[in-house]
Amino acid sequence: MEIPQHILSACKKGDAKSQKLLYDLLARKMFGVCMRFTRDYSEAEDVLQEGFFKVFQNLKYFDNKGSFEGWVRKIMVNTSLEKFRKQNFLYPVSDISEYDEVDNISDALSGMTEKELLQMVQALPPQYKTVFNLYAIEGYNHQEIAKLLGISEGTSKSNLSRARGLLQQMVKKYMSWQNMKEIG
Amino acid sequence: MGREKDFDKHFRNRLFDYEENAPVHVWEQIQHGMKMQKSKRQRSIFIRIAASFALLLSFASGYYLATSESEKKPTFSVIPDKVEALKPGRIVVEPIKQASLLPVPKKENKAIRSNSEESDEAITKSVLAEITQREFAIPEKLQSKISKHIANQFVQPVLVYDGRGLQALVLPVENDEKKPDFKWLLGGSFAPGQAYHQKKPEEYSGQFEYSDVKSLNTVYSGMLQFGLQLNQRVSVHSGLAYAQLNHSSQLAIAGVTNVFNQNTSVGTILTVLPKDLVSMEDIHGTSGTDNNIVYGQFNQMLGYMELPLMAKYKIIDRKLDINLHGGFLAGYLLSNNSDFRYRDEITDLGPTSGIHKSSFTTMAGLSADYPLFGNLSVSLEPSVKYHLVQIGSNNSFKPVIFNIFTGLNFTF
Repeated sequence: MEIPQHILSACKKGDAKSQKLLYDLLARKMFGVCMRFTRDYSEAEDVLQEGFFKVFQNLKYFDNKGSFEGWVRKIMVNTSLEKFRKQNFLYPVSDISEYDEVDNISDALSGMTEKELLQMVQALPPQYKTVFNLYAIEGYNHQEIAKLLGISEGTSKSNLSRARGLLQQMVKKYMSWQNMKEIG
Repeated sequence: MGREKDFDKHFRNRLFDYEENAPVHVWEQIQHGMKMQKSKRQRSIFIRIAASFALLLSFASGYYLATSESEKKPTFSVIPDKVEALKPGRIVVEPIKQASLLPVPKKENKAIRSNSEESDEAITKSVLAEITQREFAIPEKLQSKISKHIANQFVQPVLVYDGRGLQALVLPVENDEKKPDFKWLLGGSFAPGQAYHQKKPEEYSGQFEYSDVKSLNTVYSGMLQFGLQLNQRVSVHSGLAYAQLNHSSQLAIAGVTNVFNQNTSVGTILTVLPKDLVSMEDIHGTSGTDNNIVYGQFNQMLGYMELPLMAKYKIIDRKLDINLHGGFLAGYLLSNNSDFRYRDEITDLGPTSGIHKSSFTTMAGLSADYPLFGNLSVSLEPSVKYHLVQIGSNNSFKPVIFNIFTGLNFTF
């Protein structure tokens, strides 16, 4: 989404109406980002609030070179990561064994709603959820993730693989529940 | 690999642009926060202006006091013809003898004027006979006008006869007694403090912040010092100091594992423990736990022994002295430890790796000294300390530390 330049300029000058307009234009999409990185609605609300606060505080540093929406998204992701760091200090690498591959996973995923996919991502353990979000959805590579989270690239890879494994298990449960519903 | 990519693609395509209605009150809270920030910024600007004025005022008063005291020094522009020099001596504020020499009492002047038969030379000699001691008293009525700047100064008294009467004047001279003017000082102080290391939002490295501006990071410092008072206003100090930087996180989460591997903003902690950090019983027997984790407290402690080299300049020289101080401290890492506390159990996690063995800091501040009794005084020193070199080898962590030193000083 392209944000008109005059709105950004007015926001930089502290114009309240333009700030509200900017918020209205981006809030829905950014709330979606926050929902993916957090556990629930109330935590996502906190991140959205803190993130937009940072956006308005640091608007003067935005150099108009890249996409403004991308810049705001990055701040939301960073704010989510900050929240993750505060709450998941010392989260140890759990010993989770590898999961079996699930057949027809693609069909099952296609049949699920966005809300259901989001709920599955939200249900992942915090570190797996963060790595999965960064890699699979936001498009960061393992080197960038390792730097962002202060972990090794190997840990990032293994977290991603375990996140995929857990998601597959959830899809499997969803499929059997759907089957039961159909039979019932 | 292709299967994994497809799997990820499903999520990316469906969730990258996923939108959800944001609650209405979020905007209200953002707006409120921005208003608070604006008034805070205005308040901070006001505080900065007020602090600048206060600093300017203290410099100006220091300068005024210093110059006004020097103005009180007797000035002598005219040296009349008939001058008789005496031995130099020291001015004392308390009268030491009946005979007051500064100035010569009026009645004596009258007597000199009325007795015209006596030669000037004879009069001078008779007064000189009284002035043989090496200390000169100030008449009581003049004592309040004599600042302590002139008291104890070494002076050359000069007798002057200017045709109207005999005057005794004093001229400050170099002390010929070669007595050292400097004083020694011994002191001890303790300071609780707070450390800050602010990062911009775009700088987040993903590491747990040892000293995020939002989290509490305590610093305890203690100092044993000796000093040398070089003159009335300047002194140099050294000694031995100990500073401990503590970082504590109440939100620490740990699970069942005996391998502890964690990056922090000052370095990495990697420890293989003899047993699990948290037992499975704890996990299952605790309400409020989430999945396989418990909430506890994580602490990191870094202790430095420091060698300070500081200078002090007295800007207000009164009963309550106000000084400016500043200098450098070279430190050596004496202790480096971390632990995890859950319930009453403390698990030692060992040292943080990558911490420099030495530190180099600079410190500056204001100090107030108030005399208690004898040569003992109490001091209060609000100071700012800054690490000139980063604490760890793989980061840019250079905290700013605010300390308030409180202590006792003994001069001799």
